[in-house]
Amino acid sequence: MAPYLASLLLFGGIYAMLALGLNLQWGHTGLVNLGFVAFFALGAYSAALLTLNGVPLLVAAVIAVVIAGLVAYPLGRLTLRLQDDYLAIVTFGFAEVVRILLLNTRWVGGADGLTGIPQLFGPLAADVRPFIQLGAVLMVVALVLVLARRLTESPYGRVLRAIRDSAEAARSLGKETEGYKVVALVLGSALAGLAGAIYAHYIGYVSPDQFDPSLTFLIFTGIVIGGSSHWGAAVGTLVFIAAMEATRFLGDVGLPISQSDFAQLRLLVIGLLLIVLMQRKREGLWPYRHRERVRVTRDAAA
Amino acid sequence: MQAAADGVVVGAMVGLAALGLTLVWAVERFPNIAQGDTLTLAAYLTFGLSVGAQLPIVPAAVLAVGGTTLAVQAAYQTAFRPLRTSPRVTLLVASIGVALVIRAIVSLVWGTRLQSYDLPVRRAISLGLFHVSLVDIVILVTVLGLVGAVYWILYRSRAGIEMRAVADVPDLARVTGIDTRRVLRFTWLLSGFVTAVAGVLLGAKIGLTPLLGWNLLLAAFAATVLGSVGHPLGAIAGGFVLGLAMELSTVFISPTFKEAIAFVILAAVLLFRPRGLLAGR
Repeated sequence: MAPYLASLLLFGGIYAMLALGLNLQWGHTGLVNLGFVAFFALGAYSAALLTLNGVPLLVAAVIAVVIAGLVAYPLGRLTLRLQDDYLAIVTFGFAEVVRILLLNTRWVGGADGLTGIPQLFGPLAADVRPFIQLGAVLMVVALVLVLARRLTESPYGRVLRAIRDSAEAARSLGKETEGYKVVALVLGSALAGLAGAIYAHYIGYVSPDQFDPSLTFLIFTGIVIGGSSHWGAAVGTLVFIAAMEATRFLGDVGLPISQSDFAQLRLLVIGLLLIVLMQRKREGLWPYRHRERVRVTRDAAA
Repeated sequence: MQAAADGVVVGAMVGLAALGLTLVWAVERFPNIAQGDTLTLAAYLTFGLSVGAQLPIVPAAVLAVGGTTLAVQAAYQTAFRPLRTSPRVTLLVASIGVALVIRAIVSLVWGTRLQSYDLPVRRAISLGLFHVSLVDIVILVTVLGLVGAVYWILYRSRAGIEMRAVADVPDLARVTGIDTRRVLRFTWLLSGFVTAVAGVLLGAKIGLTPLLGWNLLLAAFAATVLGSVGHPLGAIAGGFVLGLAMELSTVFISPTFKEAIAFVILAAVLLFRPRGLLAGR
């Protein structure tokens, strides 16, 4: 039971990282990245390929993060000087291309993917390993959370939200909005790469069908429910994914609906939620609030 | 040669899908992600009416086009119209929602396995270097006719001129007394109709899966941007370029990389001529 719980929590940590990355793009900057899952996949595959060829895990993870971020850079440069819509289309196309390449490239395993990826803390005994793994992942998540907060509390983060609320206004204040948006895209994608690297070395294999495009929409819906605050985005995503996963067990309690119909019903729920949330509660349940530095201003006034 | 002939037929359908896309994009100012799944819906309605309800194929297709046009209008009224004062990205996100809802309903009603219309088998007509089927000819004739009609509506009729005015400067259009609400309704009707026809033809040419239209979406986006958003002839021309490029590429590389070709074209257009080939005309 305890290892099972640890594994659930660990997956939760990975999804939380994905949520924080996408939230930086959509929640804070208003960027629509329809290919978010592709950066997750890139991180997983690059880290896996590296460790399978003897590169130490830590180095592999760093390189995976860099790759995911670097790939996002030209996509951002290409589209963000134009209207926002173009990023959505290009990332959508990019994700399709990544999916096709992964499916059809022999040296990354094609449809079978890669197996035998070394485990995180592989040398440790099997009975303590899950807990050490969980501890390490949760520490990484905590670190990401702290860094994300530092970023969004900084003047830089304020500019991001200014761009989200009105790019025109931000530009008229002399902010070079394109550069800010590109950095938000790169950082969010790099975070997806990190999540991918951890994911690959936890479950030990990667294949194209683990990176279905619907995962992007699932996380998107989660962060829109939760709102743009870091905790809101992470918790919203976890609760939403947990609720969606729970429907897998509904078949067992005797509802006369097949598993594939459940998959479609989940899609239906995600779709309806996206429409309703856009109309009613675009800022989500816990929107980001910039913390007023009361003490600082009081000192300044004194 | 055969690849070129296939390219023209595929291009015609990509162009038609792009035409539906470009109309809404110009007036509402967002790329409608639900466009692909609208194509799918039209194809499945035709399938349901002809194979399921045993109607002859032509009335089934006509009813399916009508039904899909109404469904698009319903989606506009319920999902998009309430967002008319919101930032455009929220419409984009809502259109993802609409896309997923349509796909889920199609899959729930008709299942996810590959199906096809019950068309009478006719031998392909050989024209020397290549051969075409009856479906191909119907596709080409319909596309050319529809493009002509849409062009006439946009540039010669009052409704079309109002549409272009709203697409250019919405506030100015409103000030001059144009009923923007009616224009939007008409835009979605026209786009829905064009998309529905494209979907019925696509189903005839390729066969039906719930991802039928979604798989064409990237090419349709690329064609729209290549031909400049809001230009009906540009969308069709862009469609032909995309269709030819994708089919001709299969001569040299594996057909699985067709979509990658569409992506490369899209990226190249955005890099070198982001407003498309026809911008400013």
